[in-house]
Amino acid sequence: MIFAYASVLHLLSNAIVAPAYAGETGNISGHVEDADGIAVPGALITVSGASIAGAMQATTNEQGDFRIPSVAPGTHTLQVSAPGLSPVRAAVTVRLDETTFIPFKLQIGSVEVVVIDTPPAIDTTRTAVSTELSAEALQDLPTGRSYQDAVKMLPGVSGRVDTQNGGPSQGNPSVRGEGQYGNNYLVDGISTRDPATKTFGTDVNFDAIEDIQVYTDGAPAEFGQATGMLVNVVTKDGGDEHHGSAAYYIGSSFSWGTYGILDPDLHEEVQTAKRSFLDHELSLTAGGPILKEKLWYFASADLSMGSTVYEGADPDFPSAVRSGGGFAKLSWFINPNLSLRYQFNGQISDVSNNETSDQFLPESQSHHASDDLGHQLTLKWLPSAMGELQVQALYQNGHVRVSPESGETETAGTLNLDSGVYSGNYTTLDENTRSRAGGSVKYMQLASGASGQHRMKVGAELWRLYEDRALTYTGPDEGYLYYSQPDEGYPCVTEDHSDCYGYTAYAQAGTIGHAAIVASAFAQDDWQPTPVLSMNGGARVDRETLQNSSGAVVVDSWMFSPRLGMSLDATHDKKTLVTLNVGRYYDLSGNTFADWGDTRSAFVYKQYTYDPQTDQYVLTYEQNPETTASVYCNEQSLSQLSDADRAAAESGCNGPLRPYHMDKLVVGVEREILPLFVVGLRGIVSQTVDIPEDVNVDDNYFLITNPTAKRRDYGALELTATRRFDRHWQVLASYTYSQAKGTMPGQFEVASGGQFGSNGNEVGVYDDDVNDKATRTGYFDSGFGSYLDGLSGLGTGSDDAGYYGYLPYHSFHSVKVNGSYTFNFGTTLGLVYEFDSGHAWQKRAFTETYQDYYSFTEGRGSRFMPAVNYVDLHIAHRIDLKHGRSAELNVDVFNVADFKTPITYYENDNANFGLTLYRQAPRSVRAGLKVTY
Amino acid sequence: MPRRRSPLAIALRVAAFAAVIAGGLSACNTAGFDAVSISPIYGWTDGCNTVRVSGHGFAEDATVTLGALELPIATRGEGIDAGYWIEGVLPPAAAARAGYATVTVSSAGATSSIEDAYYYVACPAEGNLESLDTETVAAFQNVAMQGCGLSATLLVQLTPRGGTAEDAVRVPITSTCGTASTSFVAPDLPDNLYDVQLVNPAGDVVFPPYLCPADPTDTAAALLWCPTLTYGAAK
Repeated sequence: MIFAYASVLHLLSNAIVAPAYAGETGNISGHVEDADGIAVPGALITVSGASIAGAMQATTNEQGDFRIPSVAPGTHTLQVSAPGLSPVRAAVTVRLDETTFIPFKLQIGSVEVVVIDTPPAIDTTRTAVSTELSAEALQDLPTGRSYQDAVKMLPGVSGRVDTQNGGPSQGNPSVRGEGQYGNNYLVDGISTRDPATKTFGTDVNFDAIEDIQVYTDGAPAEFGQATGMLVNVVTKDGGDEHHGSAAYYIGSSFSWGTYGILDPDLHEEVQTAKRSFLDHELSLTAGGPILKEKLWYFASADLSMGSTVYEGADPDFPSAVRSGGGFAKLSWFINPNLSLRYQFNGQISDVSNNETSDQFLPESQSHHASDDLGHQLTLKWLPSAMGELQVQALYQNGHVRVSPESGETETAGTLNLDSGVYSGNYTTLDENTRSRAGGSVKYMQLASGASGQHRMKVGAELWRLYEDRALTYTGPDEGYLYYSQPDEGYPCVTEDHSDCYGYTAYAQAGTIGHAAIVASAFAQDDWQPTPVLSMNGGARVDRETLQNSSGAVVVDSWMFSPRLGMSLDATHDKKTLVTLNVGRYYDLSGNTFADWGDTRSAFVYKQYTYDPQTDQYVLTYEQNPETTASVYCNEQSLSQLSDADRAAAESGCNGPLRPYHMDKLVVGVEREILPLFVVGLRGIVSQTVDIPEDVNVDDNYFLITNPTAKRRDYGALELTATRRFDRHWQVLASYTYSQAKGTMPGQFEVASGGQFGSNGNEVGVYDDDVNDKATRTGYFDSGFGSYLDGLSGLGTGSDDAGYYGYLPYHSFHSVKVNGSYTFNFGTTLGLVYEFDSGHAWQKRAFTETYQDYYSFTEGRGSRFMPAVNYVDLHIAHRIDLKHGRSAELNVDVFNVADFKTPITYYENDNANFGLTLYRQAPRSVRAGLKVTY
Repeated sequence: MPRRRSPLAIALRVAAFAAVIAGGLSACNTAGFDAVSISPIYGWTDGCNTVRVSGHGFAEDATVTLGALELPIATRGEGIDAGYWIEGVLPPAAAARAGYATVTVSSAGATSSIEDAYYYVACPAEGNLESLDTETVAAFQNVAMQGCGLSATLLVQLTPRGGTAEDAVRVPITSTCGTASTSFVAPDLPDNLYDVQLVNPAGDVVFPPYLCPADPTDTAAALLWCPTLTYGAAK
């Protein structure tokens, strides 16, 4: 006879969850006692399920406790048996990176008791702010079919607007004011981040994803090399039962007509055809056992194609994308305690008519082709029931080729100062290879004693990050028109350049070859001294050594990051959680950092000046590719200078060059007010300092150091309401009041121009040479004050005082409501709603010295875009085809109300200032049919 | 027994509540009041130049001082620029001392200062002419001159190209704004190209402080500014 209970009421209490770890699994622990409350030693615990090879077993110790590490996420069957006591069979839900703790009270007898587990709503031992987005939860919500898009629904994540280019998002979200370059992206527990751009390194087929675990705050010491969020994508596995899916999706714009956006030549918003697109995607997955309980496989293939006609673009030349992704995983369970897994992930794409100018100029389009291939090996060994060793290795290689689309290379680029429009051919052939090779070793040990329960973990990582880039200039041989005297007109228009003051010419200098070695180690202990108090303490050390193409070590950094978290079950009922978390977070410099001072990076720069006597241009300056234009404030770089130059350089260095870091404090409280429904309030304060910057100490070179003025400050108050997904309904809602201020939105300023006014992430401060009063006075007194024209925004005599302000991804208020409900008859409704009070923007003033719009005359982020509402809907109906098969027809509607709110205004202080550059993406529809077995 | 609301109803209520909150929050996006910058960031002590003070949250009654001088407000940002900048012309001659001056904006009872944001440059010499508002002229036309040290005691001397001091004609100048902005009335002269110079009452040339090349195609002509006025179609 079997008794079934619909809750865990007859267990000692609701299940609780222990501290989280990154990876692809969760853990189970528990306590077994008899009806009198006496611990039962020697009880046998068995966990089995479709995604577990064979069965996992453990026995209780003298205190009646047991732990089972490395359990695949999902719902499993757990059996407890002890001589003379009724066995218990329970359904236990294991979540990614969590430890499900279940206490059992066994009755005397032999009748099996069946318990249906109710997963806990609050992990009362947890201090980090993390969210698990499971595949089954995501499939009920209207999200883009990428993990980068899915994470945008989380509180504190800004991702609807591309803060670099101004348009709708391009897939690199920012969290807590750290910009799109501050995140680390892991796949199955190991970093796949792009070593050069520091954004995501590879896509993963969406239907191959089992879970996405996102840490937005308070990540433990195991995680590093990021000041933003940490995204861990866990892929599906084979399992002992065959499963798979076939799906087809078609997506299309679903809004017609026009809306007003900027015509830069007319200096007004004109009615322009909306962006239109048509996409197709075919997705296939299959998994199961090759040898039951021994060898599993999982494979996934994606093929997609689509074309987009952007606003104002020639409809005869749509931007066309063809891409494919392949994923394969083999898991070999050598014995119950040892497993080996190999997985391959490959992504290719080909984009023609790729827009490069943001102004949709046909001649500036490029062809973009890329491939990413990754091989990953994971070995897991359980030397005991209380320990786990994991060794992972990854080799990931990506290749990007960007070439001129038109093939016409004779139109030089010019900047129209009146309209701000840069026009001309795309004139670069860019061959870029990036690779990441390395791995990690981690060992975890569980321990119990008089001091409480410990979960200790130590680990080390070693990486070689590499970038090789060849840029070939394909433009006019004569060079790139540079600047003329303002009173003689601009740009240079005469054939002999006689109206120009000078111009530059480019010659190929060689390829970039940057390599970094990154070594890391961490140790942490999650200590639970009492059932209501937990402390998560740890520290990690990272060392990054980065060489540029000349072999010079430009970065050699040690980074020490202590972390401490405390949590308190304040009401002793597992329903109230009070947390405090403080930690330091470092990020790597990244290979692009080496480009900064590397004159070999692209071209040799030559400057010619018009000689009126000979009526010819004469070469007045030629850059030597073997010398660097920048000096890094480290010993290797300084030692290459003469004594006099070194003394001057050191006087400008703010100590040895340091990596930037963020210190963050998070305080929160959560309360379960209804079953599985939790409301919370948290406060977050962080400051990022030591951001590197190039300082012009004289006219000959720049000095890369850590000015004290360079920093970012973030503060937020956040309300959350969460109802965990239970196959029926879910809610993830939040309101965030935040301020993200600083002097630089990204890692460092990049000398990229910014002609279009929206390139906020790359626009920095170019006025370091007048950063102190003495220097400015010197300019005035020597009669060169005109060089300072346009440097409004400098504000005061102190560096960059006028440029500290709201960063591009800042908005004061953000409301997000994500939820779904599935009716018993198989229909699901899903909603994603987001309100953003408008991100910061500003007016940028023209700077004569640089012939471009570089300074923030009213301060950075002094203005705000209009408030924006996004409403996306998901409707699906699932039909059970029996024998474990089902079919789902789904329709997602994005921007249901077809809101057309501007999301980017033109920033440059000319006739186009304040006109709409981008609006919300028009309403679109995606319909799909998915069959699963 | 109270009726139990369905989860869908709860979710819809949450969404509706969020929409209400969002609607209320849409108007809460202000960066407050702050003075940030001034443009240009320097000017002659003679004053009379237009400066724009930028920032945000400037009320309609906002006022500006540069050091001890109050800036007479001439223009305020309107439309999309409302509250973001105000412009004025610095008073003539100034009471200003050479050196840095703090810019202070007073707005709706609050003040915001930018320390040492503006630099008063001492006029380097008497009659420091920087520009003429025209290169061609007709008899009796008013010609404006900008610069510093343009004292009303000075005279404008027009010498036909290739001519001598005996061929020169001198006319008085009139102050438009202190010693920074002046004008003179072009005398009735034959069509020709005339070099423009400033002379003091004793007849000494004070501007240009260098010798302009007689041949305008001379290399030095490309480097030195030698003001000229052209009558008629003369070359």
